[in-house]
Amino acid sequence: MSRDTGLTCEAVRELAPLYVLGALEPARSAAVRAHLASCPEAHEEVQGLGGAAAYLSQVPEPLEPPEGVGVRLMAAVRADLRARERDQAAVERLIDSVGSAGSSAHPVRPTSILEAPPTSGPGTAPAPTLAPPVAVPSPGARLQVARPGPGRLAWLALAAAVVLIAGLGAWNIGLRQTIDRQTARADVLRAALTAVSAPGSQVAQLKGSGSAADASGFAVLPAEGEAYLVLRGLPPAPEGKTYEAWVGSTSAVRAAGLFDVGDDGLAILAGLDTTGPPVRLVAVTLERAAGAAQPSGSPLLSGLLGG
Amino acid sequence: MRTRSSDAAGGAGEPTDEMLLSRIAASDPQALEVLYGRYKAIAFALAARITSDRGLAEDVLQESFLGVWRQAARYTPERGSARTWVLAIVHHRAIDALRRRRLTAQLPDADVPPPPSLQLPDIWPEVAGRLDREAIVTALGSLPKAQREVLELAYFEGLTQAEIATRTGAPLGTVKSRARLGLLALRDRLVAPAVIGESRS
Repeated sequence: MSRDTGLTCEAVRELAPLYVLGALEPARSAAVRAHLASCPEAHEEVQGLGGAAAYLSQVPEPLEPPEGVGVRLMAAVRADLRARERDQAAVERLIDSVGSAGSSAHPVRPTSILEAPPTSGPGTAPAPTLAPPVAVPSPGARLQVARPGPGRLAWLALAAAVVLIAGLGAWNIGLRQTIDRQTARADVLRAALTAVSAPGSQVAQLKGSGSAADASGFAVLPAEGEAYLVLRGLPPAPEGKTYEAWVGSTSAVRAAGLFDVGDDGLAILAGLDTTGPPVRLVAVTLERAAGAAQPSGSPLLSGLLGG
Repeated sequence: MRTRSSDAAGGAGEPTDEMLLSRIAASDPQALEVLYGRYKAIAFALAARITSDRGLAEDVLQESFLGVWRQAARYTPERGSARTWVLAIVHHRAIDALRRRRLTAQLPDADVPPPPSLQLPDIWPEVAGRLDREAIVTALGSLPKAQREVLELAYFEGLTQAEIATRTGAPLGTVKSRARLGLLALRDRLVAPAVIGESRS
């Protein structure tokens, strides 16, 4: 998700004819595409020229493809649909397994983040610290026992991750660009899951409310390294909008990053910005494309970490 | 134009391209099958013309519609018609396949003639579509040669702006302006003047 492509609207207008003809170098073309995906301007000139370029597609005499292409296509589509369903189930298992371990992870009432101060803080519960994937006794590591057993949770999470990552691969046979993107995504997911299993990590289960009642996911703040947010069940952000993550306490939050939903239906934010005072709450809102300094409405999802 | 869904295809029970795309975005394989049936002949002809290779064109066709299947949720009507979007995907993948093959085979791209097998009898399903195509071919043929050359080198030969400049001996800025003028002229000749929307700043 590149929101700052380095191209101005003027530059995009200038490049539009070559862009719609496919005559830009791949990197430049990608920059134009990224600009169009995030620019609030309509860029009607691209639309108009794109329509003109589409006329060229009709210049060759139409040619009936062999039957086999359609047959193979629909077989691939059905396989894709099955993989999608498997992945969905895997993600749900994963999120459920992460969520069930966080003894202090509660959904937050939508209003409390913006208005009412908390009546009882979550800080009384210990941080849900999880074990490394292989539960060998390691005297140096401070292992607090969460339920279910940390080793079991880690295994569950990793097993789900393996299924998920395999599924991500299967979605993308033949689509080189998508493969590259999805491979990078699978790497990010793997890193997020490794962080969940690392000693000292704090995990929050996020639950949706209101229009996002079906959404859920988790945030992981490792003792060292990047923090991640992984969500499922959100629709892609509407044109001109973005999802924004917030961290802080139940009385004050600060912006922690912008993200959107991927083609696989997952929203993954790597590098959740947790600089500043200790984070006890993670929440998500929908904002205008450039992001907001303060949440404009009630959170779509929220969850608490241990203090 | 028959498949210019927003103004056509509205007849009894025939969904527009945009309606099909939203059903595809909701994981309806049948909608993809219908959309494929609508565009396969144009898309295959385009891929075959660009790649000059029937086998590769079949792969491009299949990959393109698999891409439509997976990315349909990304389509926004504000950015253009569904038809433009679908054909842009086919074009993009065909050019991509062509460039990859050039990289591996180092073919002298200028000397590959279109295979004679492509000059098949017209199987365009609708008379209206055929007329459209003839109008487009005529409009393209009526452009100044220098503009037409840039459009063809870019769109069908997959050359980048720098490669077109080298091939034609024209400066980069000239290539850019010829591409713009050619596209605008093509559109002006094919679209009723009242519909034209681009702001020429």
